[in-house]
Amino acid sequence: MSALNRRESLCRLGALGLGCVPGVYAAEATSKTESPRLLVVMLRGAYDATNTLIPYSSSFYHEARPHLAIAKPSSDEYSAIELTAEWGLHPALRSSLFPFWQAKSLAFVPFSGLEDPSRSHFEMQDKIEFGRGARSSDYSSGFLNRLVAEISPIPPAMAFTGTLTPIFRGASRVPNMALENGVIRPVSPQEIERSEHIARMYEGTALAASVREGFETRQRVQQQLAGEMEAASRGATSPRGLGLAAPRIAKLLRETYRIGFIDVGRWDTHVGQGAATGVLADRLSELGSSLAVLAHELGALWAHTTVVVLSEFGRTFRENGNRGTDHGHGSVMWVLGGGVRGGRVLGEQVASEPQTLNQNRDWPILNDYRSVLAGLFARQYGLTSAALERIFPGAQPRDVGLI
Amino acid sequence: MSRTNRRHTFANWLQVCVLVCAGFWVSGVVQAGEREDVLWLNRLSFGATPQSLLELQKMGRGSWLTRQLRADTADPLPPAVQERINALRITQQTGLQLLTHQAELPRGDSKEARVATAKQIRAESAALRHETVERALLQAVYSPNQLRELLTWFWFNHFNVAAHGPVTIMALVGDYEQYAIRRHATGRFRDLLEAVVTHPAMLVYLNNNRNVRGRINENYARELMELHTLGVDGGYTQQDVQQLAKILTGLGTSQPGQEPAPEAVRFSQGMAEFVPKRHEPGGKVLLGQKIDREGWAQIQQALDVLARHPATARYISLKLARYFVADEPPPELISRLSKRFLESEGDISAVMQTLVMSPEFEASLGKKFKDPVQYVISAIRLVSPGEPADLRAHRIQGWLRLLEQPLYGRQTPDGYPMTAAAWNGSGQMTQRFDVALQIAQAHHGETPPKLLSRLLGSQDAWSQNVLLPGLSGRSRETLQEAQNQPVTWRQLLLSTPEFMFR
Repeated sequence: MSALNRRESLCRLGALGLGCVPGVYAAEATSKTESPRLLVVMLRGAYDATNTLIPYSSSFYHEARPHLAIAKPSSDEYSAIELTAEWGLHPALRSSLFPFWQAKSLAFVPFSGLEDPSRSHFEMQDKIEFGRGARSSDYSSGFLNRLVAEISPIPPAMAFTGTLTPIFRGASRVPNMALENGVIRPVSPQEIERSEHIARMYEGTALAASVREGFETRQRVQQQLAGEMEAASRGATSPRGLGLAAPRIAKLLRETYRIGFIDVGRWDTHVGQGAATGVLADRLSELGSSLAVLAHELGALWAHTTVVVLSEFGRTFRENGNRGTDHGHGSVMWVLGGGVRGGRVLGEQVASEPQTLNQNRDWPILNDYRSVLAGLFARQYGLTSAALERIFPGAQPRDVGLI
Repeated sequence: MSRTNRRHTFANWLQVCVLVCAGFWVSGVVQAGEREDVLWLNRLSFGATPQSLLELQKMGRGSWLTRQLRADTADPLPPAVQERINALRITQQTGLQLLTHQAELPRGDSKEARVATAKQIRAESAALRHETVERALLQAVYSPNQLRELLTWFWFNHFNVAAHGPVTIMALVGDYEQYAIRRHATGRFRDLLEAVVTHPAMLVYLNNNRNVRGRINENYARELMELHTLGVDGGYTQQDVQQLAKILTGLGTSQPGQEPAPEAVRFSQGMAEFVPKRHEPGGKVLLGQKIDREGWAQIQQALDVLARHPATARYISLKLARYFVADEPPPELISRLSKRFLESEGDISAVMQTLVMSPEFEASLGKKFKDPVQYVISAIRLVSPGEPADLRAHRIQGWLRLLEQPLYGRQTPDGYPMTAAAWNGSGQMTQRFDVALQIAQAHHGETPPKLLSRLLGSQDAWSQNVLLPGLSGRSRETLQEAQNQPVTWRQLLLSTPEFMFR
C-alpha cells in the first residue's frame, strides 16, 4: 500500500469526524533520527539482583549463599564477570550484555527501588508503575503517561503489552498491543470497513477514543510490520516472548513510537533458583539476548535510545531452605543505550555486610528509583523541575550521571 | 427399551417442548420490567437468555436469589451437559486415583525411560487440566445454577492457583475447583478457607509443602494474609508473616500409596497431610493473639483468627462488591456487607443477599464493564449456545487467551483484576471485536439449527422486544444496515457498547 493510501486509510476514520491521533503525522513528516527513544522494561516477580550484579568482593555474600553464590571472577566461565573491584556480572550475560558494559553503554544503579515496608509483589509493581511514591492512593495515572504529557510535541507512546498496565494509564491516550506472538498480517479492506462501523457505534460514549485508537494502532502496526522475515522459520530455535517482540519494538521505535513499555515475567525464584546455571541464569540469558537484538535492530538510532530495566524489589540476601530466595528490598536498575555514560556502577552504595542489610534481611534502598529516573528524564528531555514534580510528585530528582 | 428409560425419554421430550414453547411465549408477551429484569440477570449470571428471563419472571427475584444461593443443593444440569461431564476422567476418578495412577507409571532404569515417563505424566496432566476447562465452560454456558458458577469463578480467582508448571496442580485443578471451591462457594467462608488450605494444589502452588520445622518458607503465610483474608492493608506485620509461616509448618502433600506418618492428619481424600514432627512446636502470637494450641489444632486456631478478623470481613466484602457492584464500591455498602459478614460468621450467601438487595446494586446495573470471561460466555449464551455436545472448549479457551484471561491461566496468586481499567485498553477493545467476529462466524458454521439451538437474528422476537430497545440509536442504526447479513449482524451486536457492560 502506498504512503498516500496508508495515510488515507488511517485518516478515513478522521473523515467520519472522529479525528486522527495528533502528533503522529508530525513525527512522520520530520526527520526520524533526532528525537530520543525510551523503553522501560519491568521484570515482574522481583528478579534476584544480588546474583545479577554480584557483590563478589564481600565474603559475607559467599557465606550467605552457600549454594547460590556465584564464584569470584576467575578463568572459570561459570564465575562472575569482573566489572569493578567490588561488582561482577552474572556469567549468563557474558555474550549479550557484557559487550555493552565494555562499550561503556551500560550502567547499573544498585540499592535502588521504592522505600515501602510491604514486600507484596502486586502492590509494589503497581506503586512503581503509578510512580507517586509509597503513600499515595491516587491511581489515576502512571509515570510514563505523565512523562508523555511533559514533552513537546507530545511523543507517540505505546505499551507493548496485552493489557494497559498502570504505568501508561492516564490522561494521555496510549495504545497497547502485545507483539510477542505469531505472525503479523497486512490490513484488509474488510477490516477497515468493519472497524469504521464499530467506531461509529461508540461515538459519544466513554470508550469512543479508546476504540478508535485501538483500530488505528492495530492498522498502523500491521502496515509497519507485515511481511517481516521470520528468521525463526529458518530452523533456528523460535524466539518467543521478548525475543520475538524485540525486533518488532525496534522497528516501531524507529518508525513511529518514541516511548515504550514492556514487561517480562517469571522472576519469582523462591525455590531452586540455581547459581551460575539454572532458572535465573536462563531468564537472564533470554533477557540479555533480547536487549542485544533490540540494540542491533535499532542501528544508528541506538545512539539516541535509553533502555531502563527495573523490578519491584530485590530478594533476600541470604538463600532460604529451598535453594531459592524470598521477597527482599533494594534492587538493581539497568540503564543502557548509545548515549548512556556506561561502564560504571552509579549512585549511593555500601559494602554488603550484615550490619548494612535492611532489617538484617536484604539490601537497603539508597537510591529512590523516582529520583534516579527524574534525573535521567531531566537530561534526556530537558525537563524543568516543575515538570519533574508533576511526573514524580514529591521526589527529589538526582542526576547520578547516567547520561 | 425399559420402562425407566421410556419415562426418561418422555421427560426429556417434555422438557424440550416446554423450553421451545417457553421461547415462543416470551416472544409474545412483553412484561413490565422486562428490561430491568434482564439487567438484573446479566449481573447475577453469565448473561440473560430468553429461558433464564422466563424463569426469573415466574419465580420473582427473591425466590430466584434464595434458590441460587442454597448451599446444600443445586438444580440438576441439563441431561446432555451432565452426560458430557460424566464422560470426563476428572468425574470418573478421584484426585487421589489420578495421582496414584501417575505415581504407579513405570519409572524405568534408563534416563531416557525416566524422561519418557515424565513427558507422559505432563501430557496426561495437561489433558486433565483441559477437561477442567471443558467442565467449567459447560457449566458457565448451560448450568441453571448461574450465580453459583459466577461465585465459583470468583472464589477460584480469589484463591488462585496457576495450573501451569507443577504437574500436580495441572492434574488436580479440577479436584481443587470442585471440592475446595465450588462445594463451598455459597457456604461459610471459614469452611472455604480450610478446604483451600488443606488442598494439595494450593500447598504446592504457594510452596507450603516445603514449609517445615527448621526450614521455613514464608510464601503461603504471606499470601494467606495479604490476598486470601486480611488484605494488604489488613494491619499484619513481617513478624506476623513469620509467625504464621511457623504455624503452617508440617502441612503439605502426601505421597500416593504411602502409609501416613505416625499421628499425621490427612485431608483431601488423603492427598494432603499434616505431619506433627514437621511442625514447629510451641505457642505463637498472631495479630496480637495468643495461638497456644498444638499441632493441627494450632493451624485451625490461626484460621479462626483470620476468618473472624474485621479486616477479613472488610476485604472480602470489598472484593465481592468490586466483582458484583462497581470498581470502586461505595464505602457505605462495604460497611454494611462487613457487618453482615461478621454477624453471620462469614456466611457467603447472607452477605450476597445483603449485596443484591442493596440500593447500590440496583443503581449499578448495566454499568459494570465485563471482563473477558463474562464477555465471551455471555456472547455464547446469547448469540447461539447450540447443543452441549457441540461446545468446543479448545476454541473458547483460545478466545479467552486472545483476551488475556484464559481459565486457570493467571500465573500469580493475586488472581485476575476485576476493574475496567485492566480490560478496556485500546488494544484490548480491538481484540474483543476480533473475538466477536469469531464467535459470530463459529456458530453460523454449525447449521442446520436444531430444535433446541437458537440462532439469534434481527427478526428474532427476543431481539425485537428485549434486546434492541436496550440499545442506543447509533447501535440500532448500525445493526439495521446489516439486517440481511446474519453473521455481520451478530458480530456487530456483540460489538455494541451496551454489550460490553453488565
